[in-house]
Amino acid sequence: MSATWLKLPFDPLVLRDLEVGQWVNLSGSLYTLRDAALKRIFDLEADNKQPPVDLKGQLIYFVGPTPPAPGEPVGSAGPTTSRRMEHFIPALIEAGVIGIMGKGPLSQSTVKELQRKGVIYLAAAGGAGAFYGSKVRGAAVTAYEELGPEAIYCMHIENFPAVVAIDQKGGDLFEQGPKTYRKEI
Amino acid sequence: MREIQAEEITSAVAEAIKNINFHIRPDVKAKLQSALEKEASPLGRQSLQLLLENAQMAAAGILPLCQDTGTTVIFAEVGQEVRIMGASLEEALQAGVRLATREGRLRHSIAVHPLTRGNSGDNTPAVVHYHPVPGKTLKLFVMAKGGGCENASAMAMLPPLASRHGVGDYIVNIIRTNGAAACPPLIIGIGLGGNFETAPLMAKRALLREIGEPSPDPETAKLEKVILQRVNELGIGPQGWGGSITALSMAIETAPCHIASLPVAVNVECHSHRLAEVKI
Repeated sequence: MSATWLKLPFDPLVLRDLEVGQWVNLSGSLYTLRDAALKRIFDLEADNKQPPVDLKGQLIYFVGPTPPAPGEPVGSAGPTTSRRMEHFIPALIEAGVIGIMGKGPLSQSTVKELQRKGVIYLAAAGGAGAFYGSKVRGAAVTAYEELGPEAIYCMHIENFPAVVAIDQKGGDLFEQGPKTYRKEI
Repeated sequence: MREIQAEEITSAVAEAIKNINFHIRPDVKAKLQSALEKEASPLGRQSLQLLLENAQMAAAGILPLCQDTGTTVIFAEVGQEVRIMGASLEEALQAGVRLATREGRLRHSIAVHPLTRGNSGDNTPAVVHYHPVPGKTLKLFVMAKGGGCENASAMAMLPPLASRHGVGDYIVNIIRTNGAAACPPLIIGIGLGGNFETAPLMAKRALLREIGEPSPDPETAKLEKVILQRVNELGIGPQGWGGSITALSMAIETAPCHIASLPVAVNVECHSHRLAEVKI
């Protein structure tokens, strides 16, 4: 598969050219977030406090890795279901996030919200935890260490493949892909 | 009576849990390979290729197949002539989960309370179903069940005269709505009949069958084939990225039910399908 090589954090300009169904190969740093940490940030936001991390211009990866083997930065680290995080996506956009990555479809209203703000959604292959874990070269807990796998990590990844699932042009892979192959009447 | 030491059970369970988290089942691998040949979508084929590469990497024993190392679900068939020494069977099984989590560096994925969400820190408790059977053997089906695909599962009490087609409609709709987020290509277990608590249990039990093995009942086997085809016609495809292979298999278990009821339960399983059979 031919892929577009992209550096993280993104140059916002490169996001314009991305198209649904296109492979990208990511290298650089991102932040991980999932249910429990998002809830904490959200609760903080409710009290008008600042999130513990500056998310401006960042790619957020929805993941909860397994513990690392000795000498390794992280264990398995494949994507988790993005739909569960939908409730927090507006808050993430508000915080300046310009890309999110996870697995599975997002609702119509979230798709529209992402496209309105030019935030892209990358789909990683669900269930490929070992493969993706091997692409992580460094990982440090940034906040909420007590949440274990749900802590916020700053991860350094290299040659990490994902597919553009929602682009800035109105495309949604999870809508278009199945439509192409649907056979039921 | 045959005596079995609790430690023996604990270490057998721990070995099984570690094994399934790092080694893909041969029947799943064969199905993924044949899906790779049949899949019409290039993106679908590339993702299947990636899963096979993932399986190869996990087999080295450092990185589990998936970061969601699951809830441990155990079906224990306990021979009535077996006596367990040193601890209760329940304690022996839970100790196995604890040991595997530590030795296999598995993720801590169990919240001790559904609302307060504190982590148990060792993946206990496993969900255990006990069945007394004749004989002197202890047989355990050990499964690591992912949260994402479990979330895609559902059940309904259909009207009693819902036809085969009506049952199919319900199942196909669940997959249409939830399938893409559950790590397709899926393995689907169905419980048809029984009552409110047995239908989901049958659906989970259906997942214990060898992948692609049809029901021994020809009518049920036919239904499995028809609904599997309908699911694949949805076009969801591997990863939900579009394609011709949405599910690898469908297994239906049936049971008698009340004249007023037709319970149907859909237990969705991801392509990792971590399951082992242990005989002691």
